[in-house]
Amino acid sequence: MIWNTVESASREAIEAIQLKRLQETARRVYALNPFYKEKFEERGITPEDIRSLEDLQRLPFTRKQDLRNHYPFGLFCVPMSEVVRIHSSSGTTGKPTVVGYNAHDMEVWNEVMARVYTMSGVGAEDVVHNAYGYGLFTGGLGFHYGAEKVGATVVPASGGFTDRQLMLMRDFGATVLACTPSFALHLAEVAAKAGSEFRKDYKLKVGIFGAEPTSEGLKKEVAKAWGIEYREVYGLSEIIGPGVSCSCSHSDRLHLFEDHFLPEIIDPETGEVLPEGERGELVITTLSKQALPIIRYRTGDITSLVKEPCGCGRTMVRMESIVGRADDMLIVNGVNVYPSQVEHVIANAEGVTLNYQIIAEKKGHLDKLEIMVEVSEEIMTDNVGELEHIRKEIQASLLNNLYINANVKLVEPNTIERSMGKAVRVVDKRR
Amino acid sequence: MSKSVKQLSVFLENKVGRLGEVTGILAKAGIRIRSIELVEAGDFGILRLIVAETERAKELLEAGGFSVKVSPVIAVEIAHESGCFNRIVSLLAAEGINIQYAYTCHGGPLGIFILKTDRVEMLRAVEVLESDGVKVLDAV
Repeated sequence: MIWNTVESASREAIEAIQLKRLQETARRVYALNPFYKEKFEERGITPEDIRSLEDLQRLPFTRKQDLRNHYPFGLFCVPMSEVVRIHSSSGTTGKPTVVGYNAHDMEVWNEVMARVYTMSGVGAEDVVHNAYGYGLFTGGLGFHYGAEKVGATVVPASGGFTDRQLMLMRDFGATVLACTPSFALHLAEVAAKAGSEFRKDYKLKVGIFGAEPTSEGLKKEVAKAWGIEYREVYGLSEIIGPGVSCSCSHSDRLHLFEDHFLPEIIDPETGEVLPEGERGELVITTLSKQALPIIRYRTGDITSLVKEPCGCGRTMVRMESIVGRADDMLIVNGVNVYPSQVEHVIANAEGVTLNYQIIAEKKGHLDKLEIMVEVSEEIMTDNVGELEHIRKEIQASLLNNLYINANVKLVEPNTIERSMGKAVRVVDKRR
Repeated sequence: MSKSVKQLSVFLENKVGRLGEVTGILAKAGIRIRSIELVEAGDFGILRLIVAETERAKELLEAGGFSVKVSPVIAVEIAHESGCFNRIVSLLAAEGINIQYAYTCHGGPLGIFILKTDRVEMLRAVEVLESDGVKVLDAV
């Protein structure tokens, strides 16, 4: 089943929609937002210069830092009276990246999520157990309203409370599980304590997983653990949230809803657009969003695109499951973390810059983060209680500012491994 | 500054061999350890030392990659007989002075107690003890 006929439109028809919407978006940001107007002027262009899709390359990139610099609403292109929803992701020094939606944007979001559900074979008869976190993150509510749009029954379970979640899944007859792949495995592991025949107590048929990079091996493990089909969804709050692209039953690649999101693959070093099929950084321009349209957003995600139509009947460009990052961002249980953010939090908590190292590991199926902090002369004290207090304070600060549950471990000076004189900031043992 | 002796505190991870590195550095430099106390708190601990040459020991340990803090503590001489420590504790308690930690130091015929109070109460603690005839040391 295909939700919208546009998903199987001809390349020409798709490109015609894209060009028209790109021109509208360029006019919108140029007219309504000084940040974009200035950027266009720096390059000596106006929206009228966008005559073909190739002209997109003449437009400036937008980076996460631009959103931060205009915190909270500086890049919005509608008055606040028109904004109906705010979401945000974690940021440095407590300042998050903020995104906003007007009523039209909410419709776009629900539309693309309806496509995701339909692609996953989910409809009115289904019960969607939504274990993505509800709140400022886009995961919970994005999956929620998309499910309502296709007429399914949604159970807004949110995160945590594994045993209770399993009970609800059994008692309410969930047929669809929406959560991070690592949480799905964790659920399966706990469910399996009831015995190897535990699957007979559940009615799950498909899982819609996302929010963290996932190896092919892990996908197979999740699918096998629950005996379900695996659908992968991709998205980011700056673009809309979940619902930028999704995999179907015919291919591991993800159909990208390019009538709403115009993708490019660039060389992250040079910014040059790469030919079809090559791996590089994914850059997305929103084509229909009004409150926060974004021109050429640098996602930092490494992938490749192919336009060849899919066996499922869809013609939209397909992206490879994310293979890595162009920067040093880590994804921990679905939460994005930059080492620089950790550094800021530690410096703010203690008033001094401390040497640190982030160690990401798997504990069972969940990510576990340990942060080693060197006890320098500045914070050294004779008092065990004070040191323990410092440790706990950094830990609480990381949770409050970055929403990550990390175990902070105090270590002796010069414990942290150096490479060419520079401290190694991240050790990712999960791969 | 009231009458006190200097104590070294060294941050140690709770790992095999770390303590040996500290004592190794001191032994190699020929610095005598007068007293030693190790406090652990989960993954880490603090090693408290009273040594013959505090400043030199600090420099050597820092050069060896350790975080070291020097702080004053009260050292009192006591006889090897029952009730001695109780007398000191009672004197301070009567004045409302809290002892954060205490350990012992052996040297010669008499024993030595090392006491740590709040820094602001140290002067008063020494006065209280001395006025009752307790011998407070400025070197051990």
